[in-house]
Amino acid sequence: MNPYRCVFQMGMEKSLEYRANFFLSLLSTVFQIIMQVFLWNYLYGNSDAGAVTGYTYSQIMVYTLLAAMVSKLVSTGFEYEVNEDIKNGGLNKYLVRPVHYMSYRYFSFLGEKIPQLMLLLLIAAALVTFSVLRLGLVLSIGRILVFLAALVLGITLNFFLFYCVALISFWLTDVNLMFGTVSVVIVVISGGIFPMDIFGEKFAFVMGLLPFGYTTQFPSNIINGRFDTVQIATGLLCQLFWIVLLFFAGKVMWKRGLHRFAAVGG
Amino acid sequence: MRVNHFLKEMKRYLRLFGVFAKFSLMSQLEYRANFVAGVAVELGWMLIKLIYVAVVYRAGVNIGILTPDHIMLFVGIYVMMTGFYMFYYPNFVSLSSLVREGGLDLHIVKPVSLQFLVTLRQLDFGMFLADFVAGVIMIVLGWQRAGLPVNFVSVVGFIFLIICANLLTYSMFLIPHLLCFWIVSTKGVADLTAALWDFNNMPQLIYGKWMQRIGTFILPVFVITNFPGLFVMGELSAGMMVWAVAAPVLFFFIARAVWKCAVRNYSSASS
Repeated sequence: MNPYRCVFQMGMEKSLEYRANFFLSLLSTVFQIIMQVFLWNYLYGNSDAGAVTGYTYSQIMVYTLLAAMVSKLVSTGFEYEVNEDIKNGGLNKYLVRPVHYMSYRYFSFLGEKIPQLMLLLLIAAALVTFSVLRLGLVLSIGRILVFLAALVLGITLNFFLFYCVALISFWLTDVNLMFGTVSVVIVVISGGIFPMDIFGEKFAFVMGLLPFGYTTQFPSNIINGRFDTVQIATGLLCQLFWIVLLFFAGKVMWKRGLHRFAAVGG
Repeated sequence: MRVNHFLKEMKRYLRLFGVFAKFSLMSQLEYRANFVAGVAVELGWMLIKLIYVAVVYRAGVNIGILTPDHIMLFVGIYVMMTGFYMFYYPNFVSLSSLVREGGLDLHIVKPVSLQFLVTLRQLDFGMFLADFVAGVIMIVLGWQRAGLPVNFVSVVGFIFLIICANLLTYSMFLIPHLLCFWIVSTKGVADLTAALWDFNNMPQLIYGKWMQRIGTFILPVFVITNFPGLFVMGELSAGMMVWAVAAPVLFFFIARAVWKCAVRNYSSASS
């Protein structure tokens, strides 16, 4: 049997076991959404906020409803385990086995995401239906499919991003103390709280050059109808570009780090 | 005579609190990496709080009577209050393991108030400092830019209301954590109360009428960060001023009653 399939299944089982945890973290997302809905309602009701943000009312509402969930969905947590492996020598058990550590982590992560994805898709379907009926969102099957593709790419991209962050543990063993901060900052600049392009064109341009927005903001903006076909295609290509780049960055870091690991670990 | 006794006790507890603070600070300076991590985590969360302010400034609209500068003041109060709350928050979190593993036994036998000892023993200076400094800066900036009066009454009243708000925070947010005396895992409860706390990220004026009423009278989270700001603006009515003082006292007595009930319910974890 393919070892990665086992790892994938183990990831799924793990995520099903800790399902209460995930439900609760979703619940706190609901509070954040409520607050933002009130904020946007006020701003759009009492000013020409659309001109400032560049989003129509229905676009920003759909974004608010979906982005927090997309952000939860792409979020990782394995960086603590990688750090633990490197710090306490747990890595040895992977080195002597015929598996690649990166692939092992990736399939385990993907397995964990599948049950969450199922649940979130149900919720998202309800929210999108609501948006179509109440907010006048126009949606096509094609758009939904592209959204799903972008979502999977977003999950993958975030994996490689955090894999690289986690591998810093080879050089700084106590870096796990910083993971909390790093992930909060990345959630913010990925557009998990507010879309980053409401802060002006220059800012949006800089964000477009960085990988973060392609994990959360880009998939969310596909659904709300903000992007045309060309923008979607460009975005998908950018996602692929960053995935490939970070994949190789991860490989290089792993190779260099392992030298250090072999030198230090005894 | 009774007043004398009260003052003496008060002095004793203040001294004890000082000792707790000293020990907490010493242990945090010993494990400096954790201290730095505490600061860093709070700075990360602060980014989320600040981005709301950024959105309001960007939109450039007033929310009711509040200009963006006022909102900066309100969010500053929220950030500072978060710092005060985080100062003793680790105790609330460790409460459930104390109950589950029977560590509470050790504390029960000590000749001080159990609640005082258990809820204020470990203090986190890292998280406190990050929020406190940032909060004060935002308050001062917002206060000045909004052109609010700087006189004896407004400053002293503001500080007094912040003290009231601290008592309210402590009492109100302790109650859900006390559930750990009855149920095993309180992580869910902790997450929910944390989410409730985050409603203060925006002034109460953006919420609907009913939500404002609930947040002021039933679960008075809005009292904590909105009242000091409204007072400085001269927008806090006399009735609300009374509630700003009454709510903390009321909730303190409720928390005290729940605590007593909880401890009566405690049967040590060991056989």
